[in-house]
Amino acid sequence: MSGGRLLGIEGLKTYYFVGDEVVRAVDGVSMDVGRGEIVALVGESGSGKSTLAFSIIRLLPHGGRIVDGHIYFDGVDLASLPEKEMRRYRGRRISAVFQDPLTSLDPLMRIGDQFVETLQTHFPLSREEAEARAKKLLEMVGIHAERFYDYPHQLSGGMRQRVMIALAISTEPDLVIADEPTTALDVVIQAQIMEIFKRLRDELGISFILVTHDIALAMEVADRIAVMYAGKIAEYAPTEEIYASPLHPYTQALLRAIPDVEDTSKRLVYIPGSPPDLSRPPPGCRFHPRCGFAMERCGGEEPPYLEARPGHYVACWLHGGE
Amino acid sequence: MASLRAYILARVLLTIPMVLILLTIVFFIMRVLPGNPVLAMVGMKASEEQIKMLERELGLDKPLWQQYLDYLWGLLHGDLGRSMIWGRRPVLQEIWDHFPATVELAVAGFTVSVLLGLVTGAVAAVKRGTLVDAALRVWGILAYALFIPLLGMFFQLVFGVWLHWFPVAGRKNPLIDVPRVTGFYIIDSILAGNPWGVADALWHLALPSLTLGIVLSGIYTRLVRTSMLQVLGEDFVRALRARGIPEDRILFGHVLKNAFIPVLTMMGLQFALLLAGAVLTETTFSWPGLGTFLVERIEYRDYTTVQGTIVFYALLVSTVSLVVDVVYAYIDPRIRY
Amino acid sequence: MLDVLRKYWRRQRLDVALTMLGLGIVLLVVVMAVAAPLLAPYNPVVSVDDSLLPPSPKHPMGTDSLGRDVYSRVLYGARIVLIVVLASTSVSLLVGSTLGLISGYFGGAVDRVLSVVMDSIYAFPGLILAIAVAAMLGPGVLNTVISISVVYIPTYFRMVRGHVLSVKGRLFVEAAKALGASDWTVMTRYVLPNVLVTIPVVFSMNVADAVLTEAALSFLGLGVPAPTPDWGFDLKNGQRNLLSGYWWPALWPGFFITLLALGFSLVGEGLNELVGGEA
Repeated sequence: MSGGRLLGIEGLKTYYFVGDEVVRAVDGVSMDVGRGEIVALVGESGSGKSTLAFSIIRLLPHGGRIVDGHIYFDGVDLASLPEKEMRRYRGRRISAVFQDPLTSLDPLMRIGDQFVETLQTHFPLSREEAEARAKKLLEMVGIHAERFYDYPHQLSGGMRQRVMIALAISTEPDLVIADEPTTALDVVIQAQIMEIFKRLRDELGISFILVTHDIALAMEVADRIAVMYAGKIAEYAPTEEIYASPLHPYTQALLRAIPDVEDTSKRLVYIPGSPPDLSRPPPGCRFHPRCGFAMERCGGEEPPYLEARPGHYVACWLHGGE
Repeated sequence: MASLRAYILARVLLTIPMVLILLTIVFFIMRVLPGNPVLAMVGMKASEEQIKMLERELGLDKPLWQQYLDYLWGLLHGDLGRSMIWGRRPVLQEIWDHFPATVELAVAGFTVSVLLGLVTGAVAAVKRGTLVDAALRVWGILAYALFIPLLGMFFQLVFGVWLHWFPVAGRKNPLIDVPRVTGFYIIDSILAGNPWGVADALWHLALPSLTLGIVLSGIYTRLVRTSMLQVLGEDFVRALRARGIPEDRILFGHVLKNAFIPVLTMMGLQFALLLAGAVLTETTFSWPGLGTFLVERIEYRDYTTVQGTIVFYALLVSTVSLVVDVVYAYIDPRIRY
Repeated sequence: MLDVLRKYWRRQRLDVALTMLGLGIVLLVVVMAVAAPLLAPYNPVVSVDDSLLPPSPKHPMGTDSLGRDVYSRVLYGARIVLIVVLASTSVSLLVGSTLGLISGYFGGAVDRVLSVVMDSIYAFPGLILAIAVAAMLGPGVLNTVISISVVYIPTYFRMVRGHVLSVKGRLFVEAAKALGASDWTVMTRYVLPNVLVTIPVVFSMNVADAVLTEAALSFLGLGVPAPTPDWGFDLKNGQRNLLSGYWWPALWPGFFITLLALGFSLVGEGLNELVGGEA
């Protein structure tokens, strides 16, 4: 962590209200993100990681709502901010990159114009100034400035994602939320995109929250990793510690499940069972039905989320809590 | 822009076989179906000689394949035949006389239907799930089920007969005389600097265009609603919000344009419906357009004119379809690149 | 299980209601048609009273310009409409589907030619096509049926052909043929079920449209000939009097035209939402 605390989430609960059902997508999460750091939110689908990320910029889909908790950003609690105020943060101080670059851009508008639109929304710039800035941003992510005049469908998937990133940083935000930004792209492009993230963190001091289901990817790029399961954080620690000494059984299982490219004789490891239904979560620790180390206590009481070691948080009865 | 030119070329080439087929179908209907037009025209009392003479004149004595070739050859030269009744006027000429009236009605009706459909569809989309949405959906179904003459007559009764707000028939007041330049009374009146002419023309256009517009709008309501809902759910809308773009700018600068594209394709397809609806509207309001002309000539058994008119419709539909596709390609860059 | 039903019911409530309403309307008209001899107080074809009498207990819908009872004419009119419309759409269904099946399954030049022909007809204004055919054939019930059925053949052709093509491309068909299944078996076992699901919706919408086309033909004097009670015909005849203020001879038949079209449309739309999923 290089510059102090940027974002502090405390006891966040975000639920989806669909018909009669209540899905507890995020059910009590606390974590923080510092300036100039890349934090990864890792988990299976349904773990709540995307919901958590989008709760921060308050872009939840139909039926979703923050029911409790605080999201402190630079001293202001975003969770209870009226929508009108929220708009001053969205796109300007916190921006987002989405999963599918193919559908994230208006197909009828040239790339350049979409930049100009964003820039002119947040800054008092003339058309020429905005154009110039847009072209510089394109160069920054490795795209030729002539592409300014192209339509989205004329660019490859990887290029489009780079455009999305350029758009996201065009307003000089403090924080960028990236939701599975490379899932739809191939590995080579993936590496390039991650390089861009790292570069932006180093050169511009932008923090990233990277939402991903791929823990291997997270370990390559993130400074800290938060492992989420069934709406709660299971473990949150610096990447080296997650790699060297993962404390939560779920994290350990995830690491074991990473296929080894070199040793193809090893069988693929998987975690038996499936994630719980978040409208009816199991009692006690949510992972206990699939946990190899489950004790009797795990089925009865939920473990508290504690700092088991300095800077290393975990919610597991194996590691403390009375 | 080069690819646009290429697209236009390809599209034109595609139109030719379709037009040919339509022309052939029309020929088939008019010549091969049972019923002897000549007999119907001159009646049972005509002598053998008279019938033979008429047949020769109409080219009916030649073998079928030759008639077909003559027919196509004539069309290539813009010859749609000649009327079988008084004066033997060229059909094309008569069509041109009546065409502007239909165009006027069609344009006005189309405008009404699109505006009405856009508004109702957009409101239904924005208020999705509410009673307003449900009501508008039912309205969409009801509108199309309205029989045009029924709606027209209803308006004639209420707004014409009972309230005296609008005229019930015709295109203009015969007492107002405006020199005919284009055939469009509104334009001609403007050109002649006659404001009464413009007002009169619009006044007569009101009920017919409202009738046609309402009935056609039903389709657009549903289409616009579906299209907008789809676009609103797209990723790029979410991305725009994430960039802090204000909601109204998203709606008017991005959503409407994108939502409009499937609607535009539909509009091209709806042109045929527009023409069909115009025929019924014209006959209901005694509007002197192509539809009334066609029905009238059928009554008079003027088969060559009827054939010529149907051919004209076929050519019209094909041309408009082509133009719409080109416009579509121009607007949506994905098509041509 | 009950839980699922309850959720399904609530979401589809409007669509179910609309379909029910549509069916109710159609049923009403069917009853009118079938029971016309029983329900009609007068002979619809002859003059039974003074002309242009306003609605009264004796004549619930008044009398027309020839002194005929409008109510009786409306009842008997339902017969003609239903007969013509159901007959023509059935013909379209049979002919169009068969052609679509053949074209889609055997492909090649036959398919290409048929497709272009059908597309051309489909693109042409339906009513105008019907007018052209009716004009050449002359008046009469059979001729009207033919005129209308021509218009809708492409609809079924395209639908069935589309289904055939999508099934043809699927792997399990290749597998079945490799195992020796005949063309006929493939078509009936795989294509038919898919098609059968879509048919009710298309058919309802089609009938709704056909009602309007039939009425239009009669309105223009090209449909069913004079003394036979027909809604479209009566609407036209009543226009003169309507403009003098006597609305009942025209608007009652007209109203039923729209009502019947609406009924079938509601059934079609409702079924479409229920079968295909929600908006």
